[in-house]
Amino acid sequence: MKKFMIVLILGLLMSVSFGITLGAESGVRYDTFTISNGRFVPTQTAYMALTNRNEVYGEPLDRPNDIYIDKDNFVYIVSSNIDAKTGKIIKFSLESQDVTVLGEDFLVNPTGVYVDQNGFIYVADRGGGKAYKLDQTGVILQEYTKPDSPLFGNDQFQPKKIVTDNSDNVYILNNGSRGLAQFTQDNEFLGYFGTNSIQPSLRTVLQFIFFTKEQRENLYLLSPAEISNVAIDDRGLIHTVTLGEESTGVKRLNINGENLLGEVYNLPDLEDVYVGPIGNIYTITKSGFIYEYDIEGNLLFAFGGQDESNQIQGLFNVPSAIAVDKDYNLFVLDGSSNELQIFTPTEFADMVHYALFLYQDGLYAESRDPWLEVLKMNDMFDLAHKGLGNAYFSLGDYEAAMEEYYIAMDRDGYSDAFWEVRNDYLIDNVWIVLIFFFVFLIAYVINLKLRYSKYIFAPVKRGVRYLRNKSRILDECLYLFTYLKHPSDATYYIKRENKVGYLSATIILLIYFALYMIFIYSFGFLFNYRVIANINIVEEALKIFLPFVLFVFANYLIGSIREGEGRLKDIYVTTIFSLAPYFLSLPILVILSKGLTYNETFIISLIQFVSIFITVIYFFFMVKETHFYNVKETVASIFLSFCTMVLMLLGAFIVYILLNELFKLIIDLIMEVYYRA
Amino acid sequence: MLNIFKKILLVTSIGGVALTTATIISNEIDIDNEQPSYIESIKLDSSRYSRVDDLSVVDTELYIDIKSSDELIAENDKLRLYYDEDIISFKIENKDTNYVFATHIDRVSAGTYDSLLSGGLGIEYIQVTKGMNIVENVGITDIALTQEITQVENGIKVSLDLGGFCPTRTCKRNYEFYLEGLITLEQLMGFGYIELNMGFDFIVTLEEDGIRAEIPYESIREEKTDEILLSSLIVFPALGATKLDEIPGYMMIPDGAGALVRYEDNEGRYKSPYRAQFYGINYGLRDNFITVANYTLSMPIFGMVHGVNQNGLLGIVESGDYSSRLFMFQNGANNLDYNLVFPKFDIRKTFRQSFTTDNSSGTQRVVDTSSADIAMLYKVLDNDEANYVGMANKYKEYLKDKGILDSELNSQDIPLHLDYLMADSKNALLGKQTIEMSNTDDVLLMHEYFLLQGLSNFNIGLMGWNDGGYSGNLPSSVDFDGKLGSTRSFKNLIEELQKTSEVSLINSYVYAGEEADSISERGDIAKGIDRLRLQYQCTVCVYEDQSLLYPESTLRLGTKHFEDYMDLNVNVTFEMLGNTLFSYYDSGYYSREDSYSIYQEMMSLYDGKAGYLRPNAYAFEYMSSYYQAPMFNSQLKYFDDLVPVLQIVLMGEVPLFSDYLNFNSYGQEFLLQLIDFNVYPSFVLTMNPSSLLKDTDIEYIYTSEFDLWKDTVVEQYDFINDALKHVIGETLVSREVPVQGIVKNTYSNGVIIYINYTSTDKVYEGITIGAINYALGGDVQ
Repeated sequence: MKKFMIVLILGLLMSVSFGITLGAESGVRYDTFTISNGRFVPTQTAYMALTNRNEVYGEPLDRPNDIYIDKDNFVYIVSSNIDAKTGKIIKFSLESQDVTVLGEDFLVNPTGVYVDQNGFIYVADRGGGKAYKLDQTGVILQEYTKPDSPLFGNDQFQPKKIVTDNSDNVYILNNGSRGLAQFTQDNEFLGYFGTNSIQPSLRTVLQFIFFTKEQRENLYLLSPAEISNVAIDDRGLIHTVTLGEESTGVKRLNINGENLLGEVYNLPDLEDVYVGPIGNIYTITKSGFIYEYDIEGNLLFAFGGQDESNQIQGLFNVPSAIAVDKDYNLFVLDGSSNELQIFTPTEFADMVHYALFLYQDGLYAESRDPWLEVLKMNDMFDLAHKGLGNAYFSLGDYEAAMEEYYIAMDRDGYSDAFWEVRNDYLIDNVWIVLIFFFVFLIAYVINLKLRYSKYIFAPVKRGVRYLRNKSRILDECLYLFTYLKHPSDATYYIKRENKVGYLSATIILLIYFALYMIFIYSFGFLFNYRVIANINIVEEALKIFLPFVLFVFANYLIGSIREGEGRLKDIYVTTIFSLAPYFLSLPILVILSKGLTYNETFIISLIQFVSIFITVIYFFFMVKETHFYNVKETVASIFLSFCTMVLMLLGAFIVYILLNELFKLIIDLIMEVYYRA
Repeated sequence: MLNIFKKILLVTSIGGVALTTATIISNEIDIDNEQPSYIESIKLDSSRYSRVDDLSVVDTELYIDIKSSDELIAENDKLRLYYDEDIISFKIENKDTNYVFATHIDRVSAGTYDSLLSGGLGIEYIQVTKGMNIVENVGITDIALTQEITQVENGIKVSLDLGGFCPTRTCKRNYEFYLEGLITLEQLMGFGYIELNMGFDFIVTLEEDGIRAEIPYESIREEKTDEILLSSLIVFPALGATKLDEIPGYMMIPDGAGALVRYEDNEGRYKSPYRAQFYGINYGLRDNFITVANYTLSMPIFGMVHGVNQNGLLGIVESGDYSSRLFMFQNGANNLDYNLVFPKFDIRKTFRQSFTTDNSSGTQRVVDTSSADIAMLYKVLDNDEANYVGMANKYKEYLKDKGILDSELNSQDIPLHLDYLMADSKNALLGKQTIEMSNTDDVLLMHEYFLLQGLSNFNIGLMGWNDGGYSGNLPSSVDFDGKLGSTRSFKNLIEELQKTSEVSLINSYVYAGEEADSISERGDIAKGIDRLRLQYQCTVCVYEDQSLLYPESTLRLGTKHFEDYMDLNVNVTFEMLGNTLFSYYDSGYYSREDSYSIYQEMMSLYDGKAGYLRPNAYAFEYMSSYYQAPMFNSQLKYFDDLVPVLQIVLMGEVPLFSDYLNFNSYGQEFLLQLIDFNVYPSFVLTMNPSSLLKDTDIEYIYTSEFDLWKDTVVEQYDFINDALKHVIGETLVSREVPVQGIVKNTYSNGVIIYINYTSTDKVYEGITIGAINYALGGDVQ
């Protein structure tokens, strides 16, 4: 999320610096973004800002607080007149010029409004400390007041927002940290619903460990993140937005109050949430950003922004509420400029919505054309690629589906499609596999009797021996395999007989690095979460070589004061040799990853685990044998070596900072002399 | 022969594929996107469209009188010019309509703005001894001054000597005592009296259809420059001012395509005035001046209409435009009840000179920003001319008289602008990797496809033709990237294209990318006035550094490459030349005017051989094409209408091309707007899919693939051409909005284009105009 903000700010800066070449003319004052491979990328304008109004058909908005649009395209806005300390509900139609004002006689500071399927209006009056159920003419049918129940606690009753579900439960947002207060239709308090939980962080754990009892008691005053707003969808599922949460700010709650949405892209200052015609979720933040998600929480569009000067159409000062009508028009209230801003979807957004509508209805094949049209407009629209992938999948065109899933980086979809493709391939080619298998089996059985394999392998072995005799370097490099077979003997020879030189060991190290680079580049898409384009060879080299070099030095230094036998060269060579299992497993992983799907993930995990496990063992025995330590000394040596590594890094860092300061000081001195002249 | 045969085969096979993909893609996906009536109505009423004019007649009670203190100083067939020396103010009387425009407001009630609006001039000055603080909006009527009036031809020269002024009420009270000799000057200064001790000449003359106001730079005299420095001069701040919604009409500012702010009572909703510098931001001198507009004021004009088709004024900044700002106060701004529009001319500006790298210590300094004479020309408009079309046409006439606009468009069909993106680059494991998007053969294939479709008039740009591709490598010498084709095949391509098209290579000479040819940091990258390099970092970009070049370097490179372009006989599209002007430091301070004069040398070298992206008015004289014509305005809340002022000015003179229609998300409605504004379509195309551009610096080109776009290009071009081919080379005579959502454009050859922005069919003047469609009327051949 931070990265997005940086991109946004940069975008703004760039448009200030070289406005002309960046992007296309959109006619609106914000850029629209969508997600492509986990990154925010620019896309066509999805919504155009139409107008800002402080009245509707002549009825002044005063300070508008909340807005709801019912299924018949009637808009309800609750607003308060701060001077007169009164409130009202403005109801108007989008189809005709009807406007009615309700509740002026009893509302004080209404901040929430909701209309149920039967047309009953629910209002949360924060100033009046009550919530109401009204009929369409504004007659009070029921009041919701502060419950006596001890469950409710000592909070004041200042209802902010209100909704009802299909079973006629009334949910009132009072103190967001506690969740939503659930009432029956008849003002009976049932309990709290959808309360956020406190996630233990490293900080809280440390506090819990180190704090005194008194301090700890104070700690429990920490409350869960506050729910800032609530909405309900057609199925009666409650949606909440929470302040201060980075990736779980938007939640869809089931009947137990559990979150059904996974992680979403959201900003932490969420102000309001609304559910649109096809279950699309719209949120707006205090900083004026509107995010639209599909029903599964995939981010479709992000746009908007803040304009404290109150001059720019489409940006907000302090947005307070958002609502969506059945034609996807957005209505946003701004509590500072006291305005209603209206946005209407562009053709592009209409196409995306239409494709989603078909797609969510399970009409995958039918959704293909609209998705293609969306992709024509923006080839980097991930969700369209995913939708198209699903369309192809349902049409049985698995290879095309794989391609689309690959572009969309939808690994689950890719895995499923790949399974099908592999399955087809295996069915088609099963006889080849079988023939190979039987040929091999027969050859093996015959070999058991006749031992003819030695005629094949002996010359190879002879050749290798010949080459080893010819080339000392090759001989030394191949000594690695001797080391792996007999680590302690090999260590002895390396130490005592200089079996392996620096050059050969370095060659092996470079081979490791090459294997590693091949691995990060070619590890199968399903298991490789790295962005290939972002791989930087210098960075990767640092990752491999720096810890290695640091360890060798640190271990040498520790060894020399703790009576270790190993010379620098011995440590260098044996450390490289001991890491072999891990690096040698990489090519196997690469090959396997090309043929496996998520169903067989455990194979990859197993190999990774085993290779690391073996490497750790080799590493341990490497230190032990090289320095001729006992187990206790080995553990101590490894531990101290790691500590020394950290200290070396710290030292280098401090020197760097000091030098940097010195350098800056000199520059500043020169600058001042120059500029004062 | 074989080659030709091959090509035909290829093109026809592509055509075949086109047919099949066309059935997949453009099979008219029918979406019900009909909007509720409320939405459609507010949409058409928004500042994205033009509104129905309020044609009511200005109440004669509100006409400004000529008083006894007004002295007639000049008269011609049409106008009378009066001067009131008490308040240094003028009145212009239109003899035909009896309407009077005054340069002050009588009985003004504007709080702190009273003095500024009650006279004809204002000044701003820098208090050198008080931390370079700038005192703004000091009205001439508040200043103790002496004036000497001399007659000049058709007008007068007023030599003003400004003594001092009282910023506070107590001071003003005591000033009387000072005049009576009761207190001394020192005592008066103790009450806040400021000694200005400066002066200048103010020359106002009557022109055939307006007046000219001048302040020669040479005439500016300052005595106490160690204490007080003149920073800005405000010319006629109250000219054409109206109160709330008393007078029907509007103000026009050339923001983007053009914006109107109607005289309506805003009930104080919009607290900040509109302000922006003519010709855009000065990157080299970042002062505290902030504009919220996102379009540049590319033409130095503004205007006001008092009663649509009744009376109006067009202001043209003739000189001093490189260092001037436009202010527009819609009523409510700064709590004034008046609607005002006027320019400020900046002589000097303050800036912060930082002494340390982290900007922690520094000082305010002053720099001269202009040494040009100040000259304003006001044209009086009446009757049919008293509207924004009249203003635009008046300015056009002015430019034609000066010889700035002198070409005329003439062709059978409108030109289609296609930019072929050939290559860009992204990070690779080691260094950068060139991404090929279209090679020379591809471009030829694409072009031949459009020829086969019957298109005949093109304007083609090649983008990323240079070594390394488009991003990060400009300015580039005229050296084609070998991966895209040999130099010979490039030459062949250009020759082939030139048979039906004007061809340009896109290059940049004002900013340099990281890997540009022959750029040295010391010699070429410009320093701002604060002596810091004008370099911008983009950490998420492939090429992190972007730098502005010294205008001298721009000229040096431009001159060096000129012959190469001429050898190829191609045009150049300049990316920032024409729309960027900045002050800089190069062992001395240089102003925007200095930049301009160097750029002008470059532009005149390429006269008629260059296209510009959204150029400012000073480049109009030299351009052969105008690219990325603005189609909107800054969408500020107090803007009421979007109007094509810029387009009307340039219509019929040079082809104006839109931004790439690939990125149009408004569908047919935007095409309609192109027809309405007389702007020609433009696309960016590549042979390879645009997803290859992911992770490049131009990933904002997210759709450009030829196969996806070829049918749309032809369809949309035909849609626009069928309307605009009837009015090539013509000018717009009138643009009316008879009912909401309907526009009637009448051209000089009698052709009328009716535009229907509404979602229902409309019948107007007996002509049926389909929903979101246009119809032709008048003298269509």
